[in-house]
Amino acid sequence: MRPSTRKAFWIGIGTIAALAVTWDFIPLNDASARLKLLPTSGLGFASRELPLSDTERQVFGKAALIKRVYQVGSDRIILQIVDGTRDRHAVHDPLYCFRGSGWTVTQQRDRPIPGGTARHLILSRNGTAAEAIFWLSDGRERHSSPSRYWWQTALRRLTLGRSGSEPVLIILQPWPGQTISWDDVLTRIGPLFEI
Amino acid sequence: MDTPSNEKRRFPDVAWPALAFSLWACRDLLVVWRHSPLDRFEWLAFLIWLVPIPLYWRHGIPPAYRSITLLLGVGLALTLAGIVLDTHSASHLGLIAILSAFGNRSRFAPLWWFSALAWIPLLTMATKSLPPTVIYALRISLALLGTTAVLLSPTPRTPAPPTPTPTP
Repeated sequence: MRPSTRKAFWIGIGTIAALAVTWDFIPLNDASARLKLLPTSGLGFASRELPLSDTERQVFGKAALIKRVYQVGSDRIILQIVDGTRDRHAVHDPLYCFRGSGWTVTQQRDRPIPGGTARHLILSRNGTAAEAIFWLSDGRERHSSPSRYWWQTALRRLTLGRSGSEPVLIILQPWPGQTISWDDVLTRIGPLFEI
Repeated sequence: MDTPSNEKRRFPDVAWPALAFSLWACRDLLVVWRHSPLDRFEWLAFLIWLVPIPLYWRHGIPPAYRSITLLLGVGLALTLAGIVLDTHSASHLGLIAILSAFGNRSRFAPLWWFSALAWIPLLTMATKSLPPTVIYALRISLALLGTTAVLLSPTPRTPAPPTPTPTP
């Protein structure tokens, strides 16, 4: 290796090491202000916080997580919102997570919601059926594409937050054993679409 | 003091801090290998994939400096991208490039580099719609394919120094 190349490598390694140490200390605005907009109760719905399991604490790490059960009329749903500003890797593709937990995705389709689309999943495991709806929202646009989320958050980190707000992952699941009317639930919890 | 032939066999010293730094940047792999159900057996694929490196060193075949420089450069650039964009996959690809610099330079080396996808979560993400057992089988098969190909292929050797011709 030529001395000039060797010198360039040492400078490169030093620069990357310095960046690695300092990059995490550069503050990035999180989505906490938006998450505060979600009321715990309102006209036609009420909620309570659900405790996190040890696994959830480990998986979500430094990410901010809201986990609540909402009673909407006669329907009961579990809501999870993950803000990955502090730990982007805590936000996984829900398909990846469900499959990893042994669920088979038997059906999936897009579902229009205010400001974009959500993804509706029908799941099964050992003869048990379940369903979930998820979307990613930066407060203006909603979509269900993990690759778009990746681009949005990578660009945000590259521009130190100037490219837009941090998208959050929103997952809704019926309380185990319940079948719910999604149209009714999504209409009644209107504030979900302000996040 | 190095003789000219020993100097040829010596690995560039910058490779070691590059490797150490890249391993540190990829420390998430330990967590993934341990806890992520769909990434099961990636550790095994990694061990299979690593096999050619100690064998290569044992035989002491001189490295091709140009390809080492290129692989280290690509590896460091990907590691930097991984840090700035907070993208583990970029750091993992960087580690593959840097480890590949320690491997041999046989005709099938590019296949071996490619087969490293077997031990990073990028493969799982790309194949997540397949049944888990198929993903595991694909992972181990890919690692075995790359390792076998590179071990069985003839490695170019540096020509032996010319024998001094007897003077009349």
